Amino acid sequence: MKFIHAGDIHLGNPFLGLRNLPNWVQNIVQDAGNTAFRRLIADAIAEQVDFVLLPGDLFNSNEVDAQIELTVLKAFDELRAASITVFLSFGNHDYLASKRVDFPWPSNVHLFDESVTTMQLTTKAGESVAISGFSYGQQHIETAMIDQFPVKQTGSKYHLGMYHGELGRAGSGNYAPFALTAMNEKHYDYWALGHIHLRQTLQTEPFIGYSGNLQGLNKNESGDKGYYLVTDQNGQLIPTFVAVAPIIWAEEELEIPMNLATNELVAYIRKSIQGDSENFSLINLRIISDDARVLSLIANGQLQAQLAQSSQTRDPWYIWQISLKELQKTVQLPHLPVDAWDNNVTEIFTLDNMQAAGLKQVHDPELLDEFLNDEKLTEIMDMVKVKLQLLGKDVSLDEN
Amino acid sequence: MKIETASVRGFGQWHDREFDFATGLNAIYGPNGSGKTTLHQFIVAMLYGFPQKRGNRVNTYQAAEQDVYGGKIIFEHQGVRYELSRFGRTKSELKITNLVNQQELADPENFLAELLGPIDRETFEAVFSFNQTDLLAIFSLKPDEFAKRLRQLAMPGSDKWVQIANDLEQTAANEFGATKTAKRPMNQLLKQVDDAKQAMQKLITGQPLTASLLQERTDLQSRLEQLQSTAATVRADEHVTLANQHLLPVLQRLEIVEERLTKLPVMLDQQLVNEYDAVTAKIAVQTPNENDELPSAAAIGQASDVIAQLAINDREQKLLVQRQLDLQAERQHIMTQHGWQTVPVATTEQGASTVTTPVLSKVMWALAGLALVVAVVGLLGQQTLLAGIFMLVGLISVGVGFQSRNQAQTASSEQQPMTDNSDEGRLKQLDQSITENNARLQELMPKMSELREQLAWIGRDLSPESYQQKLANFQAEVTTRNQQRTQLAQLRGQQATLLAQLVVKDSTDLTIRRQADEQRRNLHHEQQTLTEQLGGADRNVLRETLGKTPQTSDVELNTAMNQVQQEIATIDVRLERLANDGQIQQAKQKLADLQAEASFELQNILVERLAAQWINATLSTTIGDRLPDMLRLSQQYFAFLTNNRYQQIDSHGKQLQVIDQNGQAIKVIELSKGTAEQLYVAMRLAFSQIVSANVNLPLLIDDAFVDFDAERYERMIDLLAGLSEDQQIIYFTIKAPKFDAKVIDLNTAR
Repeated sequence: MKFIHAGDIHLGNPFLGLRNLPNWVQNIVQDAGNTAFRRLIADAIAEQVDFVLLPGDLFNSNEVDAQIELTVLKAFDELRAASITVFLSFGNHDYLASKRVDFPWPSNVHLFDESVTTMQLTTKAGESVAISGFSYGQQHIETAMIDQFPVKQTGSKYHLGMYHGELGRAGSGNYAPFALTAMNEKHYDYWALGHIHLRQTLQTEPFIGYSGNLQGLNKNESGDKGYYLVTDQNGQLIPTFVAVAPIIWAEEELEIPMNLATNELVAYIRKSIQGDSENFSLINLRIISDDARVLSLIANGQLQAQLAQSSQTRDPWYIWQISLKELQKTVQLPHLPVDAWDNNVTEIFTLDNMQAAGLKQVHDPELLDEFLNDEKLTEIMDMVKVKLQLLGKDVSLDEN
Repeated sequence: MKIETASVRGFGQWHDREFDFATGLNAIYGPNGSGKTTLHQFIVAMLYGFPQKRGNRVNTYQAAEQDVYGGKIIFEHQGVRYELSRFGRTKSELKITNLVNQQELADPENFLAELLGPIDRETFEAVFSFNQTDLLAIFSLKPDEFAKRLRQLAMPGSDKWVQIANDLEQTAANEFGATKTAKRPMNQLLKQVDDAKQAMQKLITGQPLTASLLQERTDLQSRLEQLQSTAATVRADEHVTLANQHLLPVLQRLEIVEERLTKLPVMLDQQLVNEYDAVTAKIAVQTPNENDELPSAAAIGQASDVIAQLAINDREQKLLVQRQLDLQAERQHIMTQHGWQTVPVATTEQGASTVTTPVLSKVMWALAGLALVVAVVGLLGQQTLLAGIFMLVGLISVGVGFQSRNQAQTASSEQQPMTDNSDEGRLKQLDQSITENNARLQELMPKMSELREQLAWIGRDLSPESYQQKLANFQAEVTTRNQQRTQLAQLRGQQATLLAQLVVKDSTDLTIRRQADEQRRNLHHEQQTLTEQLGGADRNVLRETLGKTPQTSDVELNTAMNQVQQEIATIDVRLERLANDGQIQQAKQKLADLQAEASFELQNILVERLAAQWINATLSTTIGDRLPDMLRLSQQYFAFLTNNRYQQIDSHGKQLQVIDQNGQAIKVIELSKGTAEQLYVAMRLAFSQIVSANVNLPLLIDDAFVDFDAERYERMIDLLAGLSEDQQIIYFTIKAPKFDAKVIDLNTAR
């Protein structure tokens, strides 16, 4: 038996955090998700797997367009032609798809509905496999759906579970909270998890883990991305990671030598970028430098602009963000004793104050979501400190 | 630190000059332009470096001659004496030597920075150096500016920060307008995001539903397959169809026939019709008789009588004629016998007549004989009329003959009755009889004529038997006719009944119906023939091909198939295009990019705003923190300076106020110029003391009290003297100092 576990494919989701991309990068970025998906399908056929498990979030239901639908249909049809079954359950982002009755899924696609169901399959080698799973019918599930899964029966050689959710206690979580013990009580041979976009193993034997998404979509989803190819090795179902993402999010540090001329800066950076050996990299460049000019160029976005301008379509990478490697945490705020600054921190850096400072004029839900949380607040505070430090330096620079 | 000596090699107007200072109060005096300010700036420059940039406002104190620029100072700091030298304006070289061990410091910059601590140049200028200008300036201040100036006092360098805060706030405000209709970059960006979202939604909803397109395609595909199978069927049947080609006209005709058949009325019941026909035939048979006029029963009856009478008459006539003939014969015989030509008569006058009469009588007799012969012949020949006529003629002739004779004879005979001997007498008898007969005949004749006339309608000159026969015939005919009439009526009745049974209006209608039936039969017959001809061919198939040749239907199917294939191809193209349409993905990515941009800019704005707020808050609190100490000290100094006239400074509320000895609160603006100056100095001094608690640097006062009156001046100097116990003060003035201090007279030093 051989199968693929690929969760959170999120077809059609755009890359986040990228600004002012040159057109050639825009084009690469646009196609990345589809490319990764097509690679998955091609691999499935080449490996002649028995079936593919897709535990949720194949796409975002409220943003599905014809191209995505047709891509999916065509891909599944190709799988059908290769006698590969698809077990598809819907997660918190594509739960709407579970309600569509008119969608012409090919005959090899088996959908899970909102109640936990178990499906049967016989592999090419004649092994009987049971697969249990469920789909989301709405955005949140607070119940521990794991409790509704049946215990492994004697009839099947393997019993697999598909579960879109995250660890947690029942009632205190929005994504079908589960506990590892509850899963283990079912005595399944493999749990194909979905929902977390990072590849993550919660347990190795039997395997309970997340395959992560096929293509990283923001800087937090860095490194290789792909799917799990699962095979039986000495009675255990072991997943092997296969990378398919054409774009890798990466972070690189670079120290700028002192007294490097401004007009050599770009060339130096370009020369020093490592990138990825196989795929295109989106690089978050962390500069280490004390050179005030460099700092100024970074702070004013000029360095970014220069790099963008000098980028070439042949480059296997693109620097999408430049920042200073973190200055010391205790930023020396100039001229005044540190505690003078610290006294006001808690008053200034509140969500309410952020609202008053302009956030309240923003209506876009995604933006609000991004800003109205404590992590962002801390991030902004750090940025304020850095800015004040730079400004303080400016102040002293003026004096000479 | 306390400065002991300042040695100027070249700075401004000073060359190679040395000045020694006391640790306490120093008074450097000289008239205007004597270099006080230059010296002041030199000291500052030693500590903080030379002014780097040349500019309109920056005095670099470049030495007039091409001399060495710079100098040195010797100072004491924490018990150790150092010599600090700086030479060269642009690329100045700093050297510090520890005079105790004569060691030059490896890192003079650092040492100096540490020594100076948080007091940078600006702070130093703000705290440890003040001059007349500062003092004068406070009068032109508006209240909030004064507050600002005080804040500047409390926090030197705060100006810059206030400016920074303002700039940040301004930048943020320029980026992001607060009103709904604001069109600043951030507002625009947010709107762009919104527009991009809507545009994308529109793109998505503007697409056809994939599911329905696919469904349409599936439907079309089945239709195509249907058509294809039909086409196959059609082609398979093609030869059959061709074979059936010749049957087409048959079918056509058959259809016409059948159509007509449907239009024909119901067939008549043949039995009834036959009966009708029989009846009609019977009627027809009798009908000709209708045309004959048959005599009425009365006429027949009458005629019968007449005939009877005629028969009698006829018989009588015949008898008479016979008799006549017999008589004639006998007469003739006699005559012959005797050879008489005429009857011998008494020759009398009758003789004459008789003379003639024998001729006549001879003619007459000839004629009569002829006529009689003919009559007999006629009778024999049943030419009764003819016979009758000739007989009549004959008889008349005979009659005439006899008459002439008889007249003669009668005349004679009347005279002589029949006595004769037999022959003559017989002759006379005969003649008489003949004459009687004749008369009788002549009597009869008109009667008979009349009778005959009455029977004329039956026939002419017929024998009574004939008449009788005829009459009998007539009778029979009448009877028959009556029978027939009855029968006819009966038949007609039957006819009517039959018509009713046949559900036909009248005979005309029947005729029409029969024609129709005839037609029907014909058509039916034709139908059968045609049907036979058709054999087993499927009518529907034939019918379908009716009017078309097999090639045509194939073409139609092909056209239909092509059309469906076309439609399928169109949908496939559409699906293909949709599948490859990256437009929406592009729009999504662009939207995400815009959102990233918006996020980035928003973040910057928030950072700017929060930074500004933080600066202001920090400044406020710091001032707030410092203010009490400073106020306390300021109060102290102020009270001293004003000779306790004002003992309190009130910093609460927006404006600074002072409380006079009567407890009266007076706003700073309301103070006199001099008093305001005193307040300002008090506060500055107070602040400098607070700051120098951490870093002790010399106070450089640049003739700040020129317009103080003597008393105030003196008090000021007293205060300074007091402070100078811990604080090195270098006081630059134009007045010769009359107080206890290290005095440097720049006049003499020149």
